[in-house]
Amino acid sequence: MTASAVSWDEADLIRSAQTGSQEAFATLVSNYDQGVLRLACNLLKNEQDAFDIYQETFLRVFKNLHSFRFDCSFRTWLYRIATNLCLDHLRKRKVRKEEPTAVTSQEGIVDRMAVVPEMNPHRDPQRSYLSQEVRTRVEQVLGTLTPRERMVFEMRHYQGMRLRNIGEVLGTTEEAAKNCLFRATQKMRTALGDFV
Amino acid sequence: MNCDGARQNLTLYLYGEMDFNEEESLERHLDGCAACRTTLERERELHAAMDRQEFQPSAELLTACRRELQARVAVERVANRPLYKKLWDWWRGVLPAPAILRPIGMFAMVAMGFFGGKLWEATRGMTEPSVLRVRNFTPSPEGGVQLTVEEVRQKTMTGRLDDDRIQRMLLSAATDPSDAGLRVRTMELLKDRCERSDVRRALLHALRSDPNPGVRLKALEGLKPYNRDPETRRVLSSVLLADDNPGVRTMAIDLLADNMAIEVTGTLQELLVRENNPYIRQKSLQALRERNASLETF
Repeated sequence: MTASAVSWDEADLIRSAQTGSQEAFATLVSNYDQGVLRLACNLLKNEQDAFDIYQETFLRVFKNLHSFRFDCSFRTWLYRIATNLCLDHLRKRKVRKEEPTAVTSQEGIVDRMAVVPEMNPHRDPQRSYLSQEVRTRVEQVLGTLTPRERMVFEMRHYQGMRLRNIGEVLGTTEEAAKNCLFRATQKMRTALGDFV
Repeated sequence: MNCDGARQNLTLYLYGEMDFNEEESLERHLDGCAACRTTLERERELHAAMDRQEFQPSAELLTACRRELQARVAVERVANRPLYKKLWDWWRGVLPAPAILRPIGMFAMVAMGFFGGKLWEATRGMTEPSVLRVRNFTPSPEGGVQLTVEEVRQKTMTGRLDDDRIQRMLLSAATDPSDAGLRVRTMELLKDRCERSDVRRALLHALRSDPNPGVRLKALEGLKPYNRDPETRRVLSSVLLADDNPGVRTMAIDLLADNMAIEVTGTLQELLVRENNPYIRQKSLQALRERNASLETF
C-alpha cells in the first residue's frame, strides 16, 4: 500500500504526532482505540487482558511513531501491532492452558462475558435458552480455532476489515486470509448447524 | 456457476469479498436455484447468530483504558525528554530576567546544584519521571502568568505482599476511583489474603460499592471462603437484592445458598418477587424448598 492510502487529514495528524503534538496523538488514539479494544476483548474474552493489550499497543505506537514511514496505512500498522500482541497472548495462553473466562458456581460455570445485562429480561424463555446455547457453542468453536483463524474471523466478521487488509496486517496474502476465514466459518457452520 | 461453486462462494458473497463478475455469476445462479437460495438464507442466519455473540466493551472500560494510557504516555514523555531540552527550557525561562538579576540567577544555579545533589542522595530510591498537571493559573497585568501545578512523581516500591507498607498501598489502590483497571488488578492480588481483617473489609467495601462489576466479581472470589462470616453474609444479601449485574448476583446467590441460614430466608423470598434472572430464581427456590421455608413474603 502506498502513501495514498493515508488520508490527508490523517497524514497531517500523524506528522504532528511525530513531532510531539499531544493533541494529535490523542486524536489518533481516539480514532482507533475502540476498535482495538473490541478486537482484544473479543479475542481474549477477558477485560483485564484486553486492558493490558490496549495499553501495550498504544504505548508501542507512541514509542515507534517516529519510525512510521507511510508505506502502509496507519490502521494497518496499528492493527499489526495489536494483532501480534493478541496472537502472542493467545499462544502463551494455549501453552499454559486456556485461562477460564468463567466464574465457578455451585451449579456449574457462569461465563463472565455472558453476564452482560439482558436487553429484555422478559423475553421468551425458550428463545433465551437457545440464544444461550448458541453463545456457548460459538464460544466452544472459537476455542477450537487456531489463533490465526480466530484473528481473521474476528477482523472480518466483527471489525469489517477487507481480506486484503487482513492479509497485510497479518503479513500474509489475501488468499491465505481467505482460506483462514473459510476454515473458521466452516467450523462455525458445523457447530451451529442445528440452531440456524 | 454450478451449485458447488455457488455454495463455496456464499461466505465471500455475504462478506462482500467477491469481484463484480463473480458476484454477477453467483446472483444469476441464485435467481434460478431455489436450493442454493435456501442455503444462502441459512448462511445469513448463521451470520446473524454470530453477530449476536459480539462483545462490546463497556464505556467504563474504554475510559479506564484512555486514562491509564494518558498517564503512561505522560510518564514516557517526561522520561524520554533529552537533557539538553530540559536545560534549554529552563534557560529560556531565565533569559527574559533583567540583567541585574542574572548574577542572582547564576548564584541560584550553583546553590541548586549543591542542594540538588543533597536532595538526590536523600531520594535515590525514587525513580523519575514525574507528571505535571496545571490545576489553576492567574494571569498578571504584565503579561505573565502564575501557575499552580500538581506534580505526580512515580516511585518504585518493592516488597513482599505481607509487608505492611505494601499492603497499605494496595489497599489504597483498591479504592482509587480514577482507575478501574488498577482496582481489578489490586483485587486479584488481595483476594488471596483475606485472612487479614483489613483486606477482608476492603473486599466487602468493594463488593458493596465499587461501580465496576469486574472489581466486584474479584472481591466475591476472595470472599468465597468467608461465606459463613455474618458480616460477609449481610453484604452478600444486600448485593443479591441491589446489584445490577447478573454475574455478581449469580456468584452471591451461590455463596449464600451454599450455607443457608435463617437470616437469609427473607432475602431469598424477596428475590422470588423481584429477580428476573432464571438461574438466580431457580437457586433461591431450591434453597428455600430444601429448608422447607415458605416461598412467599408476608
